[in-house]
Amino acid sequence: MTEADFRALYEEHSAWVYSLSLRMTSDPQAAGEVVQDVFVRAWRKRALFRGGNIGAWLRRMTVNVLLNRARSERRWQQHHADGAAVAEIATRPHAATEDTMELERALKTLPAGARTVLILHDIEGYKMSDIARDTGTAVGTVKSQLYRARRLLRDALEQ
Amino acid sequence: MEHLDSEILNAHLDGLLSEAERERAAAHLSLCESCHGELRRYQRLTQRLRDLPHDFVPPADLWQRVQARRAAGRTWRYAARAAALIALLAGAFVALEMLPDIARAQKPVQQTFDVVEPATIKVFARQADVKVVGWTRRRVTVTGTLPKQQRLDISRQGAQVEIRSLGKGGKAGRLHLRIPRGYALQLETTSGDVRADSLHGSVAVSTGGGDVDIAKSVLEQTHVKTVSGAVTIAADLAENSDTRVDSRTGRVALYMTRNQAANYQITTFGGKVINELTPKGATDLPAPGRALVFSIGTGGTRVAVGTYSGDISLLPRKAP
Repeated sequence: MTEADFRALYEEHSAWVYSLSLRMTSDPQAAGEVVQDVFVRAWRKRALFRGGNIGAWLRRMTVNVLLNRARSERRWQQHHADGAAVAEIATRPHAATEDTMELERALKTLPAGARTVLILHDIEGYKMSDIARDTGTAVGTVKSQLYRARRLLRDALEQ
Repeated sequence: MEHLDSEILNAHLDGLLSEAERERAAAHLSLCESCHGELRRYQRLTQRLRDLPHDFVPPADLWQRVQARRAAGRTWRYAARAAALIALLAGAFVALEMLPDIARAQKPVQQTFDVVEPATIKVFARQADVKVVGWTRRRVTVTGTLPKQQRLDISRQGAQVEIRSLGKGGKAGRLHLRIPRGYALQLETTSGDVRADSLHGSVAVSTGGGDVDIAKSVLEQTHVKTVSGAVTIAADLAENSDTRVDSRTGRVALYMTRNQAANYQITTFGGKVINELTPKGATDLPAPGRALVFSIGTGGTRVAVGTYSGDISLLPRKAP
């Protein structure tokens, strides 16, 4: 991978890596750090890329970085009660509806694992088999986490 | 009557039940108001989640920060100084970069929707520069900026999706689309540049003065039409596909792999032709208005390029 290839890779994929990270962390600064982690890691591990779908390779890396971050720092838990971070996403021009803010707030109350799966499947549109591969779990686990997340989310919204 | 549990309802919603299970669930849902209501609540929830905004715009200096982190892996002292300098320069760069947008009164555009059935994506972008990237998701996203006088209109009819910038005035905008790989694309601009990457399907692009650049794609039926824009295609051609480029004054460059079999028909009235795909090397047309016709390999793949005065280059590229 040349410098130009790497720049092209960044141009093409950084927006969704940032979006996914922002949704997961609820923190623009943390999301920016995740993007840096992902692309620096991609550059260092470029020799390990065996061809095929580079987007899927990057997504696996992004999910790994996010899950590692969640495990070690418990950032999600810190932000559960952080209304400012929620507002940061929700007050963007395209997201400034009460409905969206309510949903973003409810998402923050979900446990990290269930939330990751719900975001990847229901919001980002990835298949369960891809999520299972990215998170290193079985498809059955992904399914039960997803359904639990929906149930919890629905309950949170109806409170 | 025993109700359907939430796992069955969700699996029904996701289309994951077997045929027998689906029939049982449907029979129950037709009789049970309570379970039917529960299913509707889950449907509303997943729809709300799908409608959440996507593709937040990353900070403009993020690339500089990635570069700084990469440099930090080499020598952190150097990187610390460089990062500070880069951040300073990035700040100045971002400020300068934003000035034209402020002056042009642009507004952000953001739309996302799912396209379940194979569809034709039609884009009418006026003067906007358009970048289209294919991806594996069955989802279309449109981001970028448009002049304040214009708005984006998206309509869907059967297997056709139309994305159209409406309204007049203002300077050119920028649109970035992601579309499912394999879906057909039809794109029209008056003067905007078009860049398409990672597509796998039929592509039709028409532009007045904008440049067209198609790369990293596998093309089926392709028609690029321009008056004065430059056309560059560096893509693989599907077997038995047709690729046609018509340009009046714009130059056309096709970069083909050496093993790309195709029948070529090249016509220009006043342009030069450079052909490095065949061993004969550079080729002049026998006379104005006459066609240069040759084949590489066998098969039914056809390439036709015609210009009035635009130069035509047929050049080799390495296989990806």
